[in-house]
Amino acid sequence: MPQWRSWENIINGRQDRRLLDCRQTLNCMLDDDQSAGREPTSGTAAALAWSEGTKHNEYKDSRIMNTAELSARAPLAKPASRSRADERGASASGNVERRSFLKALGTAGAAVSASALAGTAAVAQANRAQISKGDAALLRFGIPSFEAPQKHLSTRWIMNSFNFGHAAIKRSSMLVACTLLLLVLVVPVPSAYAAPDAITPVEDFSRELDKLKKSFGDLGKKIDDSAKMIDGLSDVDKAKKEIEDLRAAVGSLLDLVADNGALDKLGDKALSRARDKLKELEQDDRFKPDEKNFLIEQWRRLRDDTERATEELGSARKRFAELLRTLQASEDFIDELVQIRQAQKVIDAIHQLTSEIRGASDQLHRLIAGIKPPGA
Amino acid sequence: MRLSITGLGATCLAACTFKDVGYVEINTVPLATATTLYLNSVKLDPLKNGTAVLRHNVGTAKLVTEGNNGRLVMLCEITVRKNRITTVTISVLDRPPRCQCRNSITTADGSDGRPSCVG
Repeated sequence: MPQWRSWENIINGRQDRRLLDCRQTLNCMLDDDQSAGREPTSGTAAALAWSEGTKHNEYKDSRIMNTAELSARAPLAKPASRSRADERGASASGNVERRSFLKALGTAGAAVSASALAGTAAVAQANRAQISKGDAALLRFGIPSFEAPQKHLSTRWIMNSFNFGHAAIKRSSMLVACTLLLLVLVVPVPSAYAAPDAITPVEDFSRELDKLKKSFGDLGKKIDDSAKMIDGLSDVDKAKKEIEDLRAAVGSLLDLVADNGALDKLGDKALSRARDKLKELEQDDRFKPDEKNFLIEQWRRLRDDTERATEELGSARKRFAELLRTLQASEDFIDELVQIRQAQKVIDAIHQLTSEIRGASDQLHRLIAGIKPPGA
Repeated sequence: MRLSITGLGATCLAACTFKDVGYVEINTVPLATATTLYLNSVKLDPLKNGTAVLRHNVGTAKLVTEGNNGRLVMLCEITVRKNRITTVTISVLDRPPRCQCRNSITTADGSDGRPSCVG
């Protein structure tokens, strides 16, 4: 088994262990019932089928916990128990539905726990069982190889506490155990690693950056289209209108990245949060040294990445400002050309007027010259 | 009554949301981040790398700095136009700092010889 694992895999492994512990308990209950010659406890077989279904599905997805390892950690259910479960008449479709449901819960729980433990930007997304590309990237860099603690003592203790003996077990205890199992799977174990409010500014910043990147693509297309259109335009008004529209598009982007814009504020917030968190962690004594180092390393990375992102934002701001200046200069240039053209028209009109006056004057001269006094 | 209140609310919302905006780019020469600047009495955050691009409602804005004795000194007036950027460079070597407009207009009114920058 590799010494280094990702948190994600650790969580998967922990869930497998939880399932096995519970399954072991359920098997014991079925064996008790069988040995006592009474009907199996209501719901035991179904619950066992659930857990097996879930475990089966989890195996398929698990990258680190193979069957042999799991077998070594806990005894597998006896075939008799399984056949008994089948005899209980649990319908196949019902099982599938329940298994899918449980698997979905397990997956969501694992995702939530993974993000909570890793302390990355995917907390809110994991709650919705959807992770955006940006968050996934953050999650990936947030959970690099890390020598994780081999045992989660708290959860292990909780599960061991429910290792019922072979003696008489009240039926309600089983329900409590299964309810607890569901709770453990659905609700992530409150962890000192998790601080959803701490990660929110970074997550918001990441989400807004993603939106901005999308807007860049849209704007690029619009600029290309407009440039082609302007080239083919001979109508000044249309060309001006087109540039005006472009200015509005660039302006909307500049609006986002402006120093007093929403994104910049978010970036500042995320950066200051990462810096504060780093300071807090450096003075924090709650964690073991390796855990503390891991967290510090992650926040340091987060801070560096956020710094880089804000720098990129700064250069984007500069480019947009330059683009807007170019566009308004082009528009002003067209305005100047229009003014020159209008001035030229005025001059032409004056020329025309002068020429007409000159013609009239010549005619007048000719007329005057043609006039002969009476008797001449 | 209810209809008129709704109409009034919608008008207010529209007026608040769709206000025309333009941009002001402020550069300092040499790159200075310590200069305290105000734009229409709103104190600006320290400039990053001596530059800032700010969104501002369309209209005129007064760029002000703090003088030696803590008094506010007006540097120049900036005209902000819709979806346009007005660039102004502040020379902080001068005492008091001086505005240099990329594009300026001459006003005959009482601007005391200070430039009026336009986008």
